[in-house]
Amino acid sequence: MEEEGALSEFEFLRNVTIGQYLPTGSAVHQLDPRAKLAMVVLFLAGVVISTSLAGLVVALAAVLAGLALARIPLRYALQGVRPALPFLILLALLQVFTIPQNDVGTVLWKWWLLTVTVTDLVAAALTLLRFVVLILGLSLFSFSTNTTELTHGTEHLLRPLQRLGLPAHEFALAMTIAVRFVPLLALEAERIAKAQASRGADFGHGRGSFVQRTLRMLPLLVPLFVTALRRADTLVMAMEARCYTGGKGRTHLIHLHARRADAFALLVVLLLVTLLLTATWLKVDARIWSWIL
Amino acid sequence: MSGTLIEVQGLCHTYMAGTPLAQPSLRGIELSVDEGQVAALIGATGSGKSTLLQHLNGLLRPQQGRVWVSGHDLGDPRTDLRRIRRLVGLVFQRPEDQLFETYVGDDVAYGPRQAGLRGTELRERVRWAVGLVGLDFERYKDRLVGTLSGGERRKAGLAGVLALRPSILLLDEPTAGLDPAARSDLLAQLSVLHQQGMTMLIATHNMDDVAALADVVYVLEEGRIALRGRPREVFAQAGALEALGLSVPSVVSIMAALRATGLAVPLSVLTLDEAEVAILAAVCGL
Repeated sequence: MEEEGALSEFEFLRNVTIGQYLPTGSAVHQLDPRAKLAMVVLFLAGVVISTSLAGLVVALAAVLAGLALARIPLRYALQGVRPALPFLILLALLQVFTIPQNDVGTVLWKWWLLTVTVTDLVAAALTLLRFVVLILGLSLFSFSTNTTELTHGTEHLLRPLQRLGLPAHEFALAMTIAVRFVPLLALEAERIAKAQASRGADFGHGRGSFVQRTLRMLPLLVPLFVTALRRADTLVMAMEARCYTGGKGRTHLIHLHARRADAFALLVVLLLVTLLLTATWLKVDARIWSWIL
Repeated sequence: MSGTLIEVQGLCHTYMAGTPLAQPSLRGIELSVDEGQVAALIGATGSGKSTLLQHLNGLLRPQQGRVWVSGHDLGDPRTDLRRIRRLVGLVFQRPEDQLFETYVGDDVAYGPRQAGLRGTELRERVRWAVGLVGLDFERYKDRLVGTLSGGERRKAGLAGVLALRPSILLLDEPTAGLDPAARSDLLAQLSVLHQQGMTMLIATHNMDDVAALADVVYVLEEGRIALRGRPREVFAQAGALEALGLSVPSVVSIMAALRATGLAVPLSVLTLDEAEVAILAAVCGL
């Protein structure tokens, strides 16, 4: 038996978890999409703003707990992080080796122009952790919310802005289509890659440096763009053929009802975000470091 | 003397294995094709035809089982896949998947260019391939791919694959979506290639295609081979085929209908000419 790497030379879809829906029927799936959207936005904001390593570790634990509650296999969710890994590592390395502007911490290693300080390492760890938490958080959201729910929820939340002239329904639909098309485009890329490979293109079987692997993907870009545009055209025709005329006067079959579970979940996330922000504000990290050392 | 060119033993495949979206598609395929033969793979949608074809040029590596093509083991990580793909050409189900360049000439040239051809040699190869599928090189080489008709697109796709001069040709539903004229045109071309010694595997659910071309037929059902044999033998088992959701060539259904009215006609006919002879024989007692 060969290792998985050789087998899935063309399974691009395997590593695309954002936009993928997994109907496991868990409690998370039953939550009101409006609540879930609010939770996602709050959570992402909290994670992005926070500069506390301790806070982010708690956030990671929370997301992992969320995935477990939603009955999503952890291994599959983590596969969604894989495509981003080369970028993250590059970013982390850049942070570690750049000269710090202020707050020069203990210098661990110095060679010519490159300096490695403790602050650098912490910054790198923060970047990595933040991205992982963000990707897992987004994936959890799309695993547990299907397209209809997403449109519905977004539209409801944007309705207050309609008075300012924002076309809530159209906006929500455009967003939803974008998210849903991520796995579909992965499939298209797979098809084009197979067609090119069948006539001699070398996709390297996943070997080679990061630069090599990225350059190999370039011949896929133009055909993929053309295919995506073609799909968009066909989608518009299909919608119009079913009498879609935009959001004006549009009614819904299913109405959203908020329940206690939604309020509870939202509260949990609010608490988490408060934790993240206070940890940053109170410089909890520094206290933990001095307590350890 | 022709030997076995393609050999498949115990092949199993699952899409997205190890994820919650796992889908088994092949469950133990046993198949062998000799040099110069045309083998037909028939089966309903989802029976595994495309998956099987993609194993034969190395796009999919065997998860379980063995695949040998022209003496090369496709399960061996050391096998040079680019070399295999020059030997084995795969024509995809939808020409849209196959054609990705803007101009026809460029698209047909893609394969030979990847193989290292340049300049006059490349041009001549493209000219040859385009001519082989019945298109005029001068008229089509600068045509935009998007302006071609369905039949022309299929021909362009085929030309792109033939330009690599493969000795084995894999075709995934070659006549799907073609009007009758384009269809018989394509089948005629495939017949010529067959006469020139090309080994072919055709996945189709059009039985009339099979009757016209195939030397051996494999019937797939849910990832397994349900029936195999010469076309006449397989199509005589109309009941079994119907149970698998497949039909028989039009000629065979006509003979079956005639038989039901009491006329003693055989079911093992493949062409209209044979049917004519058989009916006359039964009616006139020749």
